[in-house]
Amino acid sequence: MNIWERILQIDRRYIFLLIGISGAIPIIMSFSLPTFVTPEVRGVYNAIDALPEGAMVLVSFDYEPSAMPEMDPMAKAILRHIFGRGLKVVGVTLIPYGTGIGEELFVAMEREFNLKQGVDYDFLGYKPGYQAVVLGLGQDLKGSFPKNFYEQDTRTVPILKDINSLRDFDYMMWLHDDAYGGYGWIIYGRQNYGIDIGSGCTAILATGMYPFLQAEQVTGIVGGLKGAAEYEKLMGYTGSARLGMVAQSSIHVMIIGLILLGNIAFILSKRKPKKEPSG
Amino acid sequence: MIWHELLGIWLAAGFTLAIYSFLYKDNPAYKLAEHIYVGVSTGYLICIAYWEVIDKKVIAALGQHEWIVIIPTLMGLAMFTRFSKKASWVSRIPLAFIIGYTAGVAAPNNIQGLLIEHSYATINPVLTAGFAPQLNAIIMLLGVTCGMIYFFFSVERKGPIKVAARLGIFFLMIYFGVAYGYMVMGRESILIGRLNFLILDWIKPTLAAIGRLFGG
Repeated sequence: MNIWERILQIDRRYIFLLIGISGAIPIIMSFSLPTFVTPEVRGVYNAIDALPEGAMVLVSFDYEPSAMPEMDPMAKAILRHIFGRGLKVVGVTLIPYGTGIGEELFVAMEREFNLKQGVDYDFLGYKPGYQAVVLGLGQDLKGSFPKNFYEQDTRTVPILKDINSLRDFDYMMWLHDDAYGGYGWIIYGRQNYGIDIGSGCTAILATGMYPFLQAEQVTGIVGGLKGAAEYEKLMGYTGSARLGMVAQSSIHVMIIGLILLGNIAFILSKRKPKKEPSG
Repeated sequence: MIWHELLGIWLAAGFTLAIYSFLYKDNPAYKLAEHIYVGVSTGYLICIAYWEVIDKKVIAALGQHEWIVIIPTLMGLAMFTRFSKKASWVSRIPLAFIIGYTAGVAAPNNIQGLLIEHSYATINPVLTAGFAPQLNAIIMLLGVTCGMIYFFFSVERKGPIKVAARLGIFFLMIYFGVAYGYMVMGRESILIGRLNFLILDWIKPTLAAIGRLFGG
């Protein structure tokens, strides 16, 4: 067995190890690479940037903990932009896991921007039914959510005083790791109640969101860690997304290298002259 | 750092390593972490479902004499009759309601939001945009048309239909490649998130604490 054949039969655990090392080195060394902003991400940024101070933004935290490494840096960058501009936020979620994620992000933002729950932001919490929830929020927000996540009567929460329907929001940021309700916020929310939507989604979902961008059903797409890194660049800081993208680039180089090596080894191993059959 | 935060970090680090140990080979540590994960997730979902739905939207509503919530509550409870062979037919009533409601609501919205708006967005740029976007739009329209022809199995594949279907495969392969690339990026992001946690939140602070302990 020559070296090329040995490479082809390498234990896959060495490949796992190489991928792990190539991801860990940039995190330990913490070096940086340039980030370029795409029009898709700028579409979301510009839409939020154009809102007047005090405008109401609905944020739906529709992602599970498994998507947090991708989604949390993005959610933080977008919420920093929103709260930094003095906009007000009402949070909601279509999935049970979104409650913990939304609350944690609001607590982090409250500390960072000295916000007050009920005045600067509120979190409605979770209700099952996907498109039924979207339609319910469009028809009667307080009837659909009589109590918010903090057990307060939504009729008495100051930030919700003039908010009765999705129509009363100036913008919506949909942070999601799946289509939930067949793209419920777009198909039912935007279409029936005219709310402008920005999509912040996992990388896996990003390709599926482009038809909605083409149809101008979303103002932009912040896709995966790459999109989050671009948003951080627009916000002018280096957070975990931009640091993570260096690790991602390093892993990409390793994967490309391994693919090339595998193909070269395959071609060269085929060149070995076959032994003549004895006798 | 508060002690319970420290405990949380050590537990999370331990479970992360236990889960990744599967990459070496299946082992009891992985099995333990997997079972705890499944148990915690299910418990969390049940708690959220109770406090966010049953407590806030049913018990609280009944407390305010909103008796209408009894109907959806009973329909929800009827779903549990599936556990009994004799009574499972009852679950068909709420299921029929869900299917009927969803189909009724979804049909017009999906036709408008997906079919009409996306068709318009595919065709319209061909007619209105400048040269470069127009070229893009023509390629896209070609891709959509050929992709649809590929999935049209009622006509024999010969002549122009065969060519269009082959071209459809070509466009589909590009889409699969892009989607797969994005999927790999997504999976890498999860790994990076865990590496970030292990290195920045666990190893570095632990090494710093050990250094301080030994007078560093």
